[in-house]
Amino acid sequence: MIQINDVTKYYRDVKVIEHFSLEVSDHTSLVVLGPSGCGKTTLLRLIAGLEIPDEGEIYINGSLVSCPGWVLPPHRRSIGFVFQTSALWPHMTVSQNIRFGLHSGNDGRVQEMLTRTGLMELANRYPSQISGGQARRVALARALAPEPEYLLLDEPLTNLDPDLKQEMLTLIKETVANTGGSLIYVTHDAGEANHISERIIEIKIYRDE
Amino acid sequence: MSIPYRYQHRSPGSYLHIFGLLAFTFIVFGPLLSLVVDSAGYLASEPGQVIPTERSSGLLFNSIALAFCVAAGGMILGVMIASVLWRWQSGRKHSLRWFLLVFAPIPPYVHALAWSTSMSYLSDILVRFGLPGISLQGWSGSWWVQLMALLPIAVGLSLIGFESVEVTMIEAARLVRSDIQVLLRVILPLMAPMLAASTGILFLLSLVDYSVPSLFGLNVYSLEIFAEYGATNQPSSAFLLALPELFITLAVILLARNALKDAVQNQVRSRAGTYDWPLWFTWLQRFAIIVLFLQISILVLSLVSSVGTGKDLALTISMSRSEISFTFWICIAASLICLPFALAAAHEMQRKDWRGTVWWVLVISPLAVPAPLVGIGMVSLWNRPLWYELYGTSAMPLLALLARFTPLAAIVLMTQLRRIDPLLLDAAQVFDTHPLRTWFQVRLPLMTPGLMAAAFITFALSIGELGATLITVPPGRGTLTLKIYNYLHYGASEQVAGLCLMMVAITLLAGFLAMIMLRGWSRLMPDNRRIREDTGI
Ligand SMILES: Nc1ncnc2c1ncn2[C@@H]1O[C@H](COP(=O)(O)OP(=O)(O)OP(=O)(O)O)[C@@H](O)[C@H]1O
Ligand SMILES: [Mg+2]
Repeated sequence: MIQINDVTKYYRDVKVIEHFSLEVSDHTSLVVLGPSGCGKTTLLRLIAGLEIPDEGEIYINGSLVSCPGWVLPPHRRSIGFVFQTSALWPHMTVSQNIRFGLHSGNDGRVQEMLTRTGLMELANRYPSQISGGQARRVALARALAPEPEYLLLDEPLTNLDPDLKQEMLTLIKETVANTGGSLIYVTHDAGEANHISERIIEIKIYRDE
Repeated sequence: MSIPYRYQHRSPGSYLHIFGLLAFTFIVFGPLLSLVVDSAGYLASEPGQVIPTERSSGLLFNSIALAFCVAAGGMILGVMIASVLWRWQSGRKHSLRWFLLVFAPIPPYVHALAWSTSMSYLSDILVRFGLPGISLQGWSGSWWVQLMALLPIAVGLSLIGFESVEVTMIEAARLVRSDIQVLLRVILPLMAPMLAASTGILFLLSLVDYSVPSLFGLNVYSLEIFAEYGATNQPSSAFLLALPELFITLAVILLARNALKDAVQNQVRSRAGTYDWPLWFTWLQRFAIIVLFLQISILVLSLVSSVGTGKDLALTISMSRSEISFTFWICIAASLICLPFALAAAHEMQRKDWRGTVWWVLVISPLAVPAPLVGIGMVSLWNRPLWYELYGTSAMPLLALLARFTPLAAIVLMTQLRRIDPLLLDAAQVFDTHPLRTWFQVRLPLMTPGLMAAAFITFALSIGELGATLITVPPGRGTLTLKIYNYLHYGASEQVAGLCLMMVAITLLAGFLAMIMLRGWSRLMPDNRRIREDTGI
């Protein structure tokens, strides 16, 4: 369960999120919609522990993980994150990128993810040698491979054609069902949103008035 | 994105630009070319000269070993310290990060004095307790003091390396691996080109410095070049002796050229966030920070404590008044005169096409030339009937300073030119009436902080310049550096400590002003990068 309690976040002097609260229980998926710049990415980064909240607390599974002045390191939160940009490590091949998050060199899992995302032929290529859509799929495979309890996906399916999108959505839903965790899915696409979950929240741009 | 610097028609400005480039080439490369020409004639008459003797190759090997150990030690300490400073992302600590770099232009022989003074002090205490004394001598003394002198540069280069790694790469890894794993498997590999280039730079700076080894009684190749010139008074034979070292330093610079270019161009700001290092790593970091603290405090404390009373200091200063004012004037002259030529070169360097590449290589390769060789080249170039009037005047050390530091000024200016938003210049062109007017009303004001920073950095480096000044200074004249260096060979004294302290004070002041200029600049141009991302330009 992810609990966000009354969190406020500034970037320098600009308030991006104000007194925001949210609860996502296990086995549920949540879609986050909202105009560009409203703070969707910031919300996910706060949950992942990549940003420190200026006010409020965040709890995962009932224990405190973030408050002003203290954050639990991201790798101890069992979180999978697909960034808005693919953020693949340029010095690792596709399969090395996917393997990095797996603690025991679990090659079976790497192969499985490569097959599921249709990347078998690209396993030994470097990120600079694949297309934008392929990079998105590697990023998704990389996040799903360790079967994290919480999946945070920030517009994960941009640059994909409709058929592939469908396949990837299925893969995401299956993974979430397997792990029994929760999913927070950020998108601009109403089709994707409806496919993922009925629970949709919309964030408005915070304006200092 | 490149800043347009094309001329639709040749304006008066473009002639000035071409003149600037020619002058740059003459000032910086003239001495070397003259040496090459002279040596070709000399070599024809004595072809045996170019074959290295057993002695010289042994010496070269030893010098390389020393330089390599200095570079390796410097990078290890540099990375450890930078890994701490890198996390200082906001507030007062953030401004403190680059404060260190102000110490970079302090010449190595000042560090030599500071360390040998404090070591002999420590040794006295040890002996009093019946323990064996210690002294900084020979190889280990040279290694340690060069390491200390280069530490600020090592930290600065490592910090640039950390900052150059894209933040999302690090964050993606932090989600699945501990921070130390992220450092070892993602951050360091991504920094590798920059680390290699930085090691190359430290190697080079250590290889060409002869002041520290000569003070610690160690013979190195650069000292041999200087000695050869002193013994034969023959620029050509010194040049031929220098060739092997020159090949090595040039090769290092050329290998590092791309990484260096990236380093001076991109600066991505990393994000906040507390990192969670394992205990052993935190202890290594602490150790490195203590060394850094020692580096600064030994320098300041040992000089201050050896100066004597304020009266002694005043006496020292008044006794060196002529040297101080001479140094001051040629350094101010050098820092101002270099600007137009450096600016012309900087404009060429930031072009995106082959001309940009050629100029980048041209501007960084003089950094590979050992300082005495520049001085010897000056003699070879100017000691000719054509301009005999100039030879042996105060213009010589000034020209030597220009030959050495105009390329560095050009690099500083290039980094700043890159940051001028092309849109501002385009906007100016829309309203423009006359190219010179754009230049004076838009371009120059935008460049002013960069120009001032380049001037202060040139000034700070000129104050401590030794190698080329030593050879070119006219009889009866002396600079602060020369006076200190000559004194140093007779051991430490109140006078030399006083002069060193003054030099440190002046260098730090110039460094601070340069830093304020560069910071003022970034405040003037609030985050171009962000604006571009947001607007999608
Ligand atoms: N590092 C930063 N420094 C300053 N401001 C930032 C920073 N990151 C984001 N912002 C600002 O915070 C606000 C929210 O950003 P965020 O990235 O969370 O938006 P978003 O909802 O994900 O937008 P999009 O749909 O375009 O991805 C924006 O106005 C943005 O400009
Ligand atoms: Mg976003």
